[in-house]
Formats: sequence, structure tokens, C-alpha cells
Amino acid sequence: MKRLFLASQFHIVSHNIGQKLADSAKQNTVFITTPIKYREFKESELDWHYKNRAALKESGFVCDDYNISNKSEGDLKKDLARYDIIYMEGGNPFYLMQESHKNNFCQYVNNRVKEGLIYVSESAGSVAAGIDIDGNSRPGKSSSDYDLLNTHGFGLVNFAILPHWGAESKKTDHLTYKIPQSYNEDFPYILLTNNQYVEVKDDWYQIVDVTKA
Amino acid sequence: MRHLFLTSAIGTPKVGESIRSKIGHQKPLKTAFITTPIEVEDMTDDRWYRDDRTALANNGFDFFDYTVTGKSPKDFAQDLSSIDAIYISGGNTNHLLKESQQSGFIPFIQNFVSSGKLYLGTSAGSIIAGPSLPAYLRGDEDKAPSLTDFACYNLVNFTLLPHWGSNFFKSNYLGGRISQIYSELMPPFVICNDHEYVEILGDKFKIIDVRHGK
Repeated sequence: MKRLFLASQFHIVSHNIGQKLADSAKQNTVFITTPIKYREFKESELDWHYKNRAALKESGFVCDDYNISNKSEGDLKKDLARYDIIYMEGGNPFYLMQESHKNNFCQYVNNRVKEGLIYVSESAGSVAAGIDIDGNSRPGKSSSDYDLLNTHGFGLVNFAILPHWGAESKKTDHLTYKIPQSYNEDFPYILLTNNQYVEVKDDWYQIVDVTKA
Repeated sequence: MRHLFLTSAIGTPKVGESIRSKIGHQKPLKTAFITTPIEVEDMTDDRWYRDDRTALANNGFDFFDYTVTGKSPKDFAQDLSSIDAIYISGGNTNHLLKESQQSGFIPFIQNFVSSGKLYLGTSAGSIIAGPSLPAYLRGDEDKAPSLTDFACYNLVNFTLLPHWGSNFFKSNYLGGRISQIYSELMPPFVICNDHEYVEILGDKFKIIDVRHGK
């Protein structure tokens, strides 16, 4: 069964997601760091990232870090074969897809998810899981800044997520850039606040709001 | 099991056909076509409405027109007890909500859906299936009644934003509607264009794009 948990801000919903997964699976989690490797960060900019790491630990996930950059298809198969859960961190979905195109990670993750690898993600990781990533472009973090063959996501679901809906710090990004450029008859979109995530079982979806769960 | 189909426009080519294929009904389904949302609409150009009716008729829905305006729970029990499906038209969501509240239609439709009977909606009929009226519809449109309770049918835990990408609604959405719902307190929003619809089965949903057949 295909199973995904697509969050906007993982550490806010992690407890709820963690309760739905078996301990045995959580103990075999690979944490994909690639989305935050697109630039150097100051420690003070990574508060959200450290909160995600702490939340994973508190919810019973035991993670190994892995960066898909500079890996071959053979490396991916060899290195990731033993994991039951893949956690895709937030950061930059355009950089992630650029790196994914280089070693066919897109196809790899598609095949593994169909075989039962559980995909857990936040923000950029949830954007990348979708049908297309271009709707999330904004100045400074855009599909046109990267060497992309196309703007497809992994295509694990048939919609595109716009994460962090309603967050004051993201208001200009959404209302000035993301919404106007997404106003097309192309794909379904889901506007997801930081309290919500999409749970996927095969082709069926459910949106969970942890403030109401 | 609860089974709903929320569309932007059931009259869009292939949408009605796709829904029919999902239900798989061999015999016509007796359906109440709820006309309440158009009671306050300017229907001079009613092509969309006629397209919706044609799509239903061509896809095995044997419908009769019905309004909730002026009705009571007793009327619903008597008039709608033997039907298979309820279709709620597009039109004015505010008016539909006001009349639904005044007539006691909301508990009726909640029980109707829980019993496993079909719910189909277009536009206003899809929006009102969600938890609450989107902020942009609360009193900012010409014929909006002064509602004080914005709770909708709550058949699904998200609000559908219909007609996404259409030229007709572009100025509405980008001219202010979206900025009015930019809040972390909102229910989730699922955005569909006229070629997409949401099928709900139990507590889960899928989104179908009829151009891709999935």
C-alpha cells in the first residue's frame, strides 16, 4: 500500500503522525537532508530544522541522515534499501528536484513508495511529492534558478501543496507570487496550514488538522 | 458508507460521465435537484445551469426540482424519503445557507449523507458541504443576506474552492477573495478547476481530473 504523510510544518503535527506508524518502521527511517543543502545557513536560521529533528526523536523515529547529491542510481539502491520510512525535510524543493533529476531519484522514490516505503515530509518535501513544484516559486527560491528538466514533482500524489497557508511570515510569498502564478487550470491545489497534514493511503487522501484531532 | 461528489461544474464535458462510471448505476437514480441557490441569481445567461441539468439527465439521474425555501423538517421527511441522491446546484451560497438554516435542512442532509445516500454538488453546492462559509462570501456580495451563523453542512472537513483558473472568476479570486481566507484558523482548502472534482468515500477523498481520466 502506498502511504504518505505530507505536512506543512512537521514538528507541529509529528506527534499525531508518529502515533499512526509502527515502532519497528520508525526505527528504520532515513532523513533526507538534501532540501537544506542548497546554501549555507546560520545556526539561528535553523530553529525549525532542529525542532523537526527533536520532534522525530520524541515521536520514536530513529533516523540516519542521507544526502542524495552526488550519488549514483546504484548508490541510492544500495544505501536506501534497508529503510522503511523516508523523511524528506523542508528547505528548497527546486534544488531537491535538480539533484533528484541527476541520479533518477524521482523514479527510485516512486518505485519504493509503490512497494511500501512510507514517505513523511514537510514543506519542500511535501511540495516535491506533488504533481508539480512551480506554483511554489517566488523571488529567491524559484524553478528558474535551477537546472531543471521540467517542473514536475515526484508525482506521488496528483495535487500540488501550497504549505504554510496563513502564516504571517509567508503572506507576501503567497498572495503576491504563489497564488497568482498558480491561478491556472492545470492541477488541483491544497492550501495547508502548519496545523494540517495530508495522509495518503493508495490514491485516497485525508486532511488532518491536529487542532481538531 | 458516505459517498459525495463535489464538482466545480457537473456540466463540464466528461464530469457527469466520470461520476456515473464511479457510481456504476445501471438504473436511473431518483434525485432531488435543489434549486435554492439560483433563486436570487440573475439567470439571463443560464447556459451553465442548462449544461448541468443536461449532464445529470444524460448520466442516469432522474431528477425533479426542489427548493428548501419555505420548507420544514416534516416536508423533507415526506418529500425526500424515497430518493437515491440529492444534487445541489450552483448559485448563491449565502442564500442557500440562510434557507438551509431556516428550514432545518442541515440536520436532514447530514443524516441523508450518513445513511449512505448520494450527495452531488456544483460550485455553491460543493462549497456548502464544507465546515463553514468562506470569509469572502460573508456579506460582500450583492445578494448576500445578513447571516450571523456561518456553519455549513460539515459533510467534509475541507472547503472546496471551485472554478480555479477560469477567466470569469479571476478578478474575484485574485482581487480579494484569497486574501480574505489567508489565515491559519481556516479549514483546509482544496482547489479545483472546472475539469476536476472530489469524490469522497467514508472519510477519505480523491481528486479526479477528467482530462486525464484519473
